[in-house]
Amino acid sequence: MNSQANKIIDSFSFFHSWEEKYEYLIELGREMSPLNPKFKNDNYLIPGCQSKVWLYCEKKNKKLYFYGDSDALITKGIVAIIIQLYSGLSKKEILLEDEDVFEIIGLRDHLSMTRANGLNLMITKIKQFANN
Amino acid sequence: MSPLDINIIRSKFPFLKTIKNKDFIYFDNAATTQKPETVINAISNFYTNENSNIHRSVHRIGAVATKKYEDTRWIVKDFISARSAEEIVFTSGATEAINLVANSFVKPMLCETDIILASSLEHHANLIPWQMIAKETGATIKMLPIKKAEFIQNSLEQEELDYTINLVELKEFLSTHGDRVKFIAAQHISNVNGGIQDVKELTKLAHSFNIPILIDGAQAAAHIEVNVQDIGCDFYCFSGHKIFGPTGVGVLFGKSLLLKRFQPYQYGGGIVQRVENASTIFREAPQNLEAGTPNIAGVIGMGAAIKFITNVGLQNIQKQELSLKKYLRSKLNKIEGISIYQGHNSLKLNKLFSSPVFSFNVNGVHHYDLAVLLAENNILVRSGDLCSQTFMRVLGVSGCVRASLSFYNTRAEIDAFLLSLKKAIKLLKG
Repeated sequence: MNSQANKIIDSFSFFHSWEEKYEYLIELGREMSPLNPKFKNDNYLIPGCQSKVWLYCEKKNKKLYFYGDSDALITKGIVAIIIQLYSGLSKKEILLEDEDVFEIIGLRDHLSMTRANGLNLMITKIKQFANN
Repeated sequence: MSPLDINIIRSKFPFLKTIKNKDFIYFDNAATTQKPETVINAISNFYTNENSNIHRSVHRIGAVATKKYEDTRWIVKDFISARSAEEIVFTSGATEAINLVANSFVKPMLCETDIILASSLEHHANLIPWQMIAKETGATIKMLPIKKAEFIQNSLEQEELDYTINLVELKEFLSTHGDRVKFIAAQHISNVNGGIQDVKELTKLAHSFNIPILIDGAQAAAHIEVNVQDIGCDFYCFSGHKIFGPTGVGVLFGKSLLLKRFQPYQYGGGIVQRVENASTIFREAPQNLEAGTPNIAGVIGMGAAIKFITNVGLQNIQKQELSLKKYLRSKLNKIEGISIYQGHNSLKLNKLFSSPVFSFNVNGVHHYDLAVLLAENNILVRSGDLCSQTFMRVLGVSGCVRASLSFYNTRAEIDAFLLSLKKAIKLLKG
């Protein structure tokens, strides 16, 4: 498991009720470094989500860096976690990363109920970037 | 008519008992309704005691199954006041009914200069099939004119947004283009805002230009009395699962003369009179439109659902739903920054009633976030574009939250919903 995943799991372990977890998730979204508005267009939109999700990938020194945003707070929090998990890794590291952090922090059941939040779509998109 | 005892009514729905134990509140009745035990028992009884194929067997059990299936055609006929049972076609749901009319009736008569009229208020099921046959034939699909969003003070002294079809503008359009319009498709009640269209006047107008019309009654049949002879429409459809019946079954009503003109769009057993190596003579409608072994248990279950509605009484259901609607609306109005997209009842009679569907947004809050937090509180609502993206564009939003009630919901459930809603808004506004 990468160290970022450990950090996320550690932070969430302080919260027990779902309200607290969501509050923290929303906070993570608010604190995320913003996506340059020029990438908030249909080219970077992940289709199929109930809320809008934009994801932009940049390659620097053989590593991939991700930037994203969403118009919904909870989804934005999910984007923040995913970016924290995968940003700054090499393509190989991204493809090898298969730990289900959302399961461990206790939100997988909550977030995977529908395709609406695009959690799985986001991870698929990131793996696609790593495959190209 | 005696007033309903809601506790007795609720005790007839096994699922409502199950979710009560888990503290769930089901406010997603426009998506699908719960099933009373009479429906569940009818399906179970069919598979336990009467399971056999219909229309084919000479044995007694087969005859019983055939009779129950065909009896349901009569039950449906009475339920929507059709002229005869031959006007009732069983389908897998409203979606299949609309696709059947589009492909078997409308498409064969379309050419490039023709126009189909539908509305931007429709559920995708009553829009995409028309778009597809227009695309295939080169015909054009145009939107029915709708009234501009004007606020109307209804008799409850609450404001409603009027998104009904503008019959005056439609008449003007038909006066100049009527000869090119080959078909009109419109909803009876909206799945987004519960508004009721004046389908009788709309039908009259369509017929004055000799245009056949289909009414999508998916959101209507569980809430208001449907009388297809009074409406006068050529086609009417609804789904079993939205009227307390099982999924995978529905109804297409079609006037006999028009059903006879249908070209079946799927072929198989049960629809033929005589089959040669190279050709087939088909049975008449409705049988020729029900190829293959149909959803026998589903049809029988839907018959039980209609009997359930009839026994409870649609007037009782309406009375209960109106009371819930008034209560929820008065409480929702007090929530700061809320926009409620409740529809207008265009019927001149029965002014008080429109369907208890509450679609809304809260200023500065995303509908997805609200629905997630409501779900965490075990409140089951729908969110998103509600399969009506064109309606969302009319409203100027990307989606909304929809709480849709049925007569078996309670004021206590509404209170719990409101408490969760306020909690969710507080959390999201920080």
